[in-house]
Amino acid sequence: MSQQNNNDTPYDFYKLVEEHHILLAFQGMMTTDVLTMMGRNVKEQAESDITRRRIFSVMVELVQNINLYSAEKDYSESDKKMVGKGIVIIATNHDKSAFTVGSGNTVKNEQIDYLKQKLDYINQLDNEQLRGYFRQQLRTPEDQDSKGLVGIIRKAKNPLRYEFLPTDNEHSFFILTVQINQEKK
Amino acid sequence: MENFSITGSNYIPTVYFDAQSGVLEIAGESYHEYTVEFFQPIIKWLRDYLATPGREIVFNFKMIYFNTSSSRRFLEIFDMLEDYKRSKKGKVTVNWYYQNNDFDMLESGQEFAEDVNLPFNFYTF
Repeated sequence: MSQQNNNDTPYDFYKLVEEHHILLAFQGMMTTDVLTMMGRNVKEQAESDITRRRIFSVMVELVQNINLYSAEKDYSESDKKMVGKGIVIIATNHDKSAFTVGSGNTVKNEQIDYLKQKLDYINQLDNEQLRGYFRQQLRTPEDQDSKGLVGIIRKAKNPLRYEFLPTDNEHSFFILTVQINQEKK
Repeated sequence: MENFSITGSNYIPTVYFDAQSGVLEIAGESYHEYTVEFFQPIIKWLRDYLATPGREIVFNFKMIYFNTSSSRRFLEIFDMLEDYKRSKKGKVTVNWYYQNNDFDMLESGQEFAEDVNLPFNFYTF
């Protein structure tokens, strides 16, 4: 009986998903299986090929970012590795003229400056500069490159929006979202 | 030398390297999260293959999708091929295929072509 007073019944979640035009949401361990499953789901959305491919690309890089930066990790039996935990959401607007792809995960506070610096730097580059920067990143030592973030902005063709919400003294919740406009093709 | 092959699946490309004919092909999707591990045997085979000078190689890329991590591995392959052409009298041609309308894929190929000194052909499939 008490459950009916909470806002967390399946129906409440259903309404939430509908109201926000959420096409896909997953929270948990970002295993290869999960990524594959989400990828298949994106490909089944009836959008233009190019938009679908861009959404898919951005999602793949966001998932890999979660694996890279999440402060919460767990051992995956299927991947035989520690994988990151976080959330990935793909939503659209009422007329499907644009899509928002976003991720969220906990990060250690000491990583905030590093991430902000990279994101701000990438956000002020124009297309040509991004192209050059991406090539350069492919030749930067792998643990220091930011090819994933550059890959996202280049596919999305819109700036990366981010936020860090403090969760405790040592951690923050890192939200990263980007809009992808529907291409008519 | 033995041929090399990997059967593709969801996030793994199909790889077929024919040692005899020199036709080497990577096709499909590549978004393995651990591309270093996945590409390691591919790179190793190629290194052994390129130890013999003067080969004539046709490298076909028929990708539907690849992540930025795979871009890095592709560049590694192109660097090896470029080096082979320069220092081992190798003849190398790259055929970059892209699906009709996938101009992002075409652009990726053009960027690699700018980055390395190898002849690239572009075809739709």
